[in-house]
Amino acid sequence: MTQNIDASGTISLADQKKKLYKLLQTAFELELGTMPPYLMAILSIRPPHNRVASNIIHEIVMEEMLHLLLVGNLMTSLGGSIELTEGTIPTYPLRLKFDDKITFEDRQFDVNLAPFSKETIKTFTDIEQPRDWELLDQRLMFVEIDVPSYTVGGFYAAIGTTLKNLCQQYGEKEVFACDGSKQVNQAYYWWGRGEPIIITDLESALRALSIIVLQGEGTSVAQFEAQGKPFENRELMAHFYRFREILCEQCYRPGDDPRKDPSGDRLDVNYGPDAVFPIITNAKATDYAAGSLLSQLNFDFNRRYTLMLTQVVDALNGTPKVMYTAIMNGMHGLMPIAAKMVAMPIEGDRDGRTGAPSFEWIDPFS
Amino acid sequence: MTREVETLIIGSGVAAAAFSQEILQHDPKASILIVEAGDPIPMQDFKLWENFLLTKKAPYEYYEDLAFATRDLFGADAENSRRGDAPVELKGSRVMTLGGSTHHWGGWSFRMKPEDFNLRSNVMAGNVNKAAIKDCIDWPIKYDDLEPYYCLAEEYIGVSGDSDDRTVPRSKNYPFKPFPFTLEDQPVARAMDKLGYCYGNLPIARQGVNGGESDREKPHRAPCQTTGTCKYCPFGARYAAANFLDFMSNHESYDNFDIMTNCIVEEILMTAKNKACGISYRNRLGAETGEILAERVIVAAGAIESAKLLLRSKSGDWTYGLGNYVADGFVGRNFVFHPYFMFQGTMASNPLLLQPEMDFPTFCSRHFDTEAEQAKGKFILVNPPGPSSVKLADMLTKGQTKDQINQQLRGTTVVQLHGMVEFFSQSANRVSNCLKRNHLGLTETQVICNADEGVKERIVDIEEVVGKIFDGMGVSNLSLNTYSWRADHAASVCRMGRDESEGVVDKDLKIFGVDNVYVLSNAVFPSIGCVNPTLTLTALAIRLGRHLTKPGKVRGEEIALGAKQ
Amino acid sequence: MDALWAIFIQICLFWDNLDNVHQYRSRLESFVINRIANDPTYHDVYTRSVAAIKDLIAQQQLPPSQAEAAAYQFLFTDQNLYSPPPNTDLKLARQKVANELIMLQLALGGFKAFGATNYCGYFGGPNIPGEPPPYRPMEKEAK
Repeated sequence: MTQNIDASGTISLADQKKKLYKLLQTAFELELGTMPPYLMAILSIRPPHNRVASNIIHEIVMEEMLHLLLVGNLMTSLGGSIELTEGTIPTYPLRLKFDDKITFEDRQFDVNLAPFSKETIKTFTDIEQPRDWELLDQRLMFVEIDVPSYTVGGFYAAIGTTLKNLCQQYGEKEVFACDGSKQVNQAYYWWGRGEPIIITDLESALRALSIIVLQGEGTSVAQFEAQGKPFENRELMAHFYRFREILCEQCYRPGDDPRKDPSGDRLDVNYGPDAVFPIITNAKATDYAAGSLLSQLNFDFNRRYTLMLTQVVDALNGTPKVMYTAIMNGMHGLMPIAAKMVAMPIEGDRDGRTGAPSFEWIDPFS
Repeated sequence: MTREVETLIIGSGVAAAAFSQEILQHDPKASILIVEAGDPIPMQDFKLWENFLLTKKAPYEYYEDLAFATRDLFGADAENSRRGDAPVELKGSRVMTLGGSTHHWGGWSFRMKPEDFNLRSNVMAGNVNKAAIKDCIDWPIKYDDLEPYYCLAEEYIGVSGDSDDRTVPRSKNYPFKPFPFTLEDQPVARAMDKLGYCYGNLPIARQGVNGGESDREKPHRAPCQTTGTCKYCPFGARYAAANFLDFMSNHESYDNFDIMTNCIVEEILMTAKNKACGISYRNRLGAETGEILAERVIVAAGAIESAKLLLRSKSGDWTYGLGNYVADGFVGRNFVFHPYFMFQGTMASNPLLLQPEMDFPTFCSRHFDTEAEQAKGKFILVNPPGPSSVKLADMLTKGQTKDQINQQLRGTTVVQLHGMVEFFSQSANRVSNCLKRNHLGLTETQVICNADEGVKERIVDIEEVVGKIFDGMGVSNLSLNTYSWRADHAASVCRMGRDESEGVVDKDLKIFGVDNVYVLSNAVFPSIGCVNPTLTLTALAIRLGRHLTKPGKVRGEEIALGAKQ
Repeated sequence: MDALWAIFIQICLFWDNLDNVHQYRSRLESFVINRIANDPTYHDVYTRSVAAIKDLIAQQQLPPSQAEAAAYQFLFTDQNLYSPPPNTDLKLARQKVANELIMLQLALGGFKAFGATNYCGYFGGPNIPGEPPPYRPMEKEAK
């Protein structure tokens, strides 16, 4: 890529912003990538089992949605736009990557569209793991990496640092050149902790990034401890700890050591076949016989899913009102289709598995 | 088929939902079964919403009454019967399915006023219209008894209102701030200012935004997005019991809470004069019949169906129906509702381009909802959204050009002012069961209702008041466009009283002489004032829930207490 | 879908009441999918209507640059096409397709050209304390 060098020999603001756009595009894909696996875990649960666990995961999905909105707003505030194509939506099994080739050094594992199980929840804790978690699984640390890489936390820190440097060099007004009217505001989000931030300057940008980090993948145990008595306020619990509650089948109590297992009330978790549908893992459209009901449902799902993502990205790229349709028509419309699929045996499947949506890109009118 | 539960609730509207929630908040393991004659309606279904937007047909219309038979309308197209000179209408007045009438209600959430609880005493103390209230009684509870529960009801439903408006005394603020008056309210507000008529923000059941952490306490409830399709809200921002029951069933950990649909309750079964043991029912969609045994029965089936159920529940001890000590007892009698008026006039021009931007009113006046007006019949005034002549969709689909539309918008414009007037009980006005079944499998309803002269005269007074307001607005051609006697706010047919000589239930809504059957619907209101009853009903539901979960209360104790009374 | 999108654009052009039309494409797509899901006969309705409009354009005895506009003007304004029942393909195109798209277009924002800031069917947004309401409020009286 040719870079424009100005008279002083430095790379122009426009080109430096392009690098930021790439980082933010990756952040968008990172946040988006976790949502389908979390949703599949919820959808695979047979009602009325695992009600509390299901609610916990549902809250986390909604907060990932917030992170998506914050990344989108940040992109818009800098004058960029999120790209959505067949190539940029996550496919499963998913290996979280930066720049399409470099894996995050603390995410050297595949993420699957899989049923609710202990293994699945363990993967979710690994996704959300704080960067200074002492019980770090060996496989996450001692992997040969060809090229310099980021941890997820380091990745978001890099975005913040880049923003600070740009503002120092060019001034905030030049960096944040777009007004807030094209960003997604609190009118469009009403589910969980926090709210969309209209980003107009460095302070609001850093605040947005800190929400993503503190709630989600980039958090640190030290930061959590620094906030005060751990687990005193459930509102401040990062996703990692909430998944740990499901994994340990126990809730955290105020004062618990974040580096140890929770010691509070028991949490009912049932992974048995009476409580979880035996859904196919990482379903693909080709797994269903042509003309079958599952095939038709999967097609409907994917068409709506693609359209929903298109609308989310349209909303993030300057048409916020589309977000209403994305949520009310998209999100709400997908769940009943998925619920039908997970309860439907795959014809001729020797393992007795049931269907699951494949979350694949499809032209809405193909 | 037989089933056993601790608390059986008949009906699934706001009363059932609020009462259940109250019990379960104190005891999440409480055994509660709601039985509902109808089906679930898909809620917040975007394609159904779009269809509603285009056709104005809501997905629950099947569960409304059909019209009364006429010369041209009969057979399968008509149902129910009506006698008397009051043109009472049942079609469109209620929704008989899971979630009840909160599917179609407007969300107007008024509190009754202190004087409404003393209607008889107040009028008898004066010299006006005493004969009209000869069959009326005071409430056995007072406003102050209910006030704390009004606060809880507003919190539960999610009411946006003006906490600085002290038309009615309050001890807590509304959960959400009011929706500001619209531009359409401006002409009527100015006119009322000149006349010295007070007005205020209409308290409305629309989830709001506080901008704080309290918004996150109920994350499943989206704030009102002023979409203007309230009768089928795509966001669930207008309280609908169906949404709340769905959340309780699918997201809360209430292990012993269940809802049984398509279950038509035929009668309440008694083992002794003072003790019910459950109900008999039949499946609406098939031939299955059965019984459900319960320690406690809550009749929350709406005013009309609650009364009809008690009338059907005959036994050796209750020859005339449960709660009726004599042949013409109080069950089914003293039927009241709110006649609803719509006055109309024309403005010569519309320079502000006034047109409906919302689907709910923001402006109301309780100037004539006072103790001074009680004897003649109180009334409220509401400014409805939208002059009826401005319907952009109609204009464009008819093929009018942009210039034609703009010209029409600025030209002569129809204006309306709506309201409701109090209707006093008369013992002879009643509801009862017909032998025939309606299209939903419930027994048809017979309504007998005559309007007294006072109600007929009152509309003349109201027209005079509206005339003054219209004069102030520069509106001419005043006419009474519609005077609807639709029975949306049917009430008083199982009224509360001090004892069985004047009512069906006591101040705790328990049927006199029965230890374990409660009526929880508008049926228990001795009178209804001139405002919508839903908030008051919700307050009563929460109050009953609290009453039945007092600390230390154990199963079986309630029956012992009833025996002592 | 492209043909239905063309009708939508023509509605915007004829009434000159909506800018930046491209942003509404995905919402039209959702709408059409939902109409068919709600009533599968709409697939046939759309197919027949699109064909009828194509014929209508072809029948215009005008240069190609003017034929489309003239055809759509006829479609949107002819009183015979408006009167039920929709017993021809062109009446179907008017009553079931064009008129529904008009109502959708108004709800997406076309109403604003006629003076209002909110409309029944439009997602006006919430009433946020301290901010202007999502509709035209009553004006403060001048002192």
